Amino acid sequence: MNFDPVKVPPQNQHPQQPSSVSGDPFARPAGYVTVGEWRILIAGIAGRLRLSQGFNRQVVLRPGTVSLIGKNDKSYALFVSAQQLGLAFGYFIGGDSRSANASNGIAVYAGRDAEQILLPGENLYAFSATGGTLVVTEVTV
Amino acid sequence: MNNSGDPYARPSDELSEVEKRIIVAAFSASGLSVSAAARIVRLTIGVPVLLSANDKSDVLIVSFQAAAASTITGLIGSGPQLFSGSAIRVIASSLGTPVQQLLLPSERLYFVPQFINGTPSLNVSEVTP
Repeated sequence: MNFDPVKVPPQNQHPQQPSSVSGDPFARPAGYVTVGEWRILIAGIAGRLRLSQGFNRQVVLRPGTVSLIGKNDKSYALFVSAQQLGLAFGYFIGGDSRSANASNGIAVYAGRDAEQILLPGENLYAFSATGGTLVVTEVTV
Repeated sequence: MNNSGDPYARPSDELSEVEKRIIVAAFSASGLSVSAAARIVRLTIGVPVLLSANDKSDVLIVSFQAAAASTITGLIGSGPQLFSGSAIRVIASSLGTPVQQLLLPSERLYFVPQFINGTPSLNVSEVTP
């Protein structure tokens, strides 16, 4: 009498490459995190905790004008915080001068802080219809 | 120059020890802040005070909070020369979560109180993760 051998799944083997299954060219093996992703994670978690040691400057937003408030030309992941000074005002932020407007920009409400992480070569622009002053702090974690 | 052509890439392409320590400290900061005994730092409006100086560990977690039923607004920075408009403003309230900062070796944390509603002092605690 012949019995078909029972196939037992192999134990402790590496999972197959998901890209071959899903067709996603950007898929990586599960559990693999790049150094760049780690740095984004570190900046996101620790950036606010390092603000006191960052570089501060004052940026005046003129009414109806787009202003460059942050530029990462020096670090892997730059944590940028913008705090409103004086009277609270609303404004919009974006990654380029065309997107920082009331239609496409990310709204920052009056009295709220804006916090963003910039990767190398990225910029942060702001637009305010009423104008105002920001205290911009940059931290390289 | 490395082979990748990325001017920001380290030769080893690994996280530095400082980066590893920072992320460990940042993850554990909120949980560790209550485990240290706090000391009281007296405040005077407009006068900078040194809240903490890291001269003893790789990463130091500094937490500060206003005394009971008090709210204190002030500026924080790495040196005593802090001016409104060029420094980070924080609100330390007895009802809210403590204000926390991470200090690397030889870094300092100064505080300049601007508005004090209640007791003019801060409870400051330091933890090494």
